[in-house]
Amino acid sequence: MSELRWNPLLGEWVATATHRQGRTFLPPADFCPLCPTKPGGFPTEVPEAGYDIVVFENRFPSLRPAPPAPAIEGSELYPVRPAGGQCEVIVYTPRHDSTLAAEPVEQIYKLVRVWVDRFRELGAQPYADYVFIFENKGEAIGVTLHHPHGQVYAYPFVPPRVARELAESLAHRERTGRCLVCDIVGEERDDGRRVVAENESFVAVIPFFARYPYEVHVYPLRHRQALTDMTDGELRDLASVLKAVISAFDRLFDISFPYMMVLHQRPTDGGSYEHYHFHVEFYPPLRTQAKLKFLAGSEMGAGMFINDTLAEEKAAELRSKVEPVVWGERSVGA
Amino acid sequence: MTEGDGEGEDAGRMTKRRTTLEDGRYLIYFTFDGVGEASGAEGAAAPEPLAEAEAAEERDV
Repeated sequence: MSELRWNPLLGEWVATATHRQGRTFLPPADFCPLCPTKPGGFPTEVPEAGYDIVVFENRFPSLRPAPPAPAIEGSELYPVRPAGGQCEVIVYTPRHDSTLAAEPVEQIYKLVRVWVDRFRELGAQPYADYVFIFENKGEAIGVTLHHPHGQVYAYPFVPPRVARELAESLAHRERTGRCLVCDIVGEERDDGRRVVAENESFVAVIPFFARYPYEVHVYPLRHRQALTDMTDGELRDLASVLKAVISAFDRLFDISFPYMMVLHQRPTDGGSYEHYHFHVEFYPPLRTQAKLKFLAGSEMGAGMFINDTLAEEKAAELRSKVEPVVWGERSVGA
Repeated sequence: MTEGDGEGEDAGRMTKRRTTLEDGRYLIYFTFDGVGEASGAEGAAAPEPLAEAEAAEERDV
C-alpha cells in the first residue's frame, strides 16, 4: 500500500509505503541484486553487462507514475492523495566493491551526465514537480545494499526543505536584489576559512551555518538553477570537485566515509525560479571516527541543530585531506 | 533506443539503451565514448586546497 497523507501540523505530505518493509537487506556479495547477472547465475536487477551506468525503476517505490488509489479515505483535516511520481535507482558502476570516491573522475563525470539526463527526462513528466537526486552511503545511513548506487525521486510537489530554500532565496532577492547563494559563495570565498576545495566552476565549503561537523556544500560559482543550465566544462568541474570532496572524506579516518549526498535544483513544475541557485549538500553522520551525530530531541523535536564542532576547524581538517584530481588516470585508494 | 544527449562531440558521446524488464519496469543502460580526456577539463579539474579570496564575477546575478 502506498499513499500520501497530509500533516496539517507541519503542512507537508508523508508517504506511506508498507511494501518497502520486504525489500532486500544487506545481501552477501554473491547475491547482490545490483550486480549484472552472471551467466548461469541468479537473475539480478540488471540482466546484461557491458554498460557504464544503469538506471531502472525501483522495485520497491514509494512513488509511482500510475499509483493505486489511497487505501484509506481522507477528510477535510486529513487529505490523502495517490502517491504519484517516480523512484529510480542509479547503479554507478558494474563493480560491486567500489564506491563513488574510488571511481575515477571520468566515471563520476559520466554519472553527472546521467543526472542531467534523468533531471531532464523525469522533469518533463506531468507528475513531476520536483526531481530529487541523492545518494545514501554506508550502513550508518541505513543503506540496504552496498553496491555503489544512488536514487532519483520525482515528487508530485516541491518538497518542504527545498520550498523553504526557495522562499528564503526569493525573500533575499526581493530585499537585496541579489541571489542568496551567490552571496553565500562570495562571503565564504572572501573569508576562506571554511573553503575545502575549489576549481574554476565550483567551490566546496563547510558553511558558516553547518549543522553536521563535516557538512559540505558544493556551489557553482556562476548563477545556475539546475544541471541542465551548465556547460560541459562545468559538468566536468562538478565531477572533479565531487571527487576531491568524497576522496577527502575517505582520507579523514581511513574508512569508507558514510554520507548523504543531495542535489538541490529548481523545481520542474513550470514555475520561474531565477532566484534559486543549484547546489549539492553532503550530510555525513560521523562526528569522530567512532561517534555518530544522532538527531535527537532538539534536532527532531524543535528543528534546531546543535553542532559540537566549529566549521572553521573541520574545514581546515578536511581541506588538509584534499588532493588534486587528475583526469586520464585511474584513481587509487578508498 | 539509442540517442545522444545533445552535449556535443567535445563532451563525449552518451548512448542510452532502454529495455523493459519482465515485470514491466524500464531499465536504461548508459554507455559513453570519448569522455576520458576531452578538452576543457584539464586545469579546471584540480581543486586547490584553499582559494585566494575573490568574489565570483557573476555572484550578483
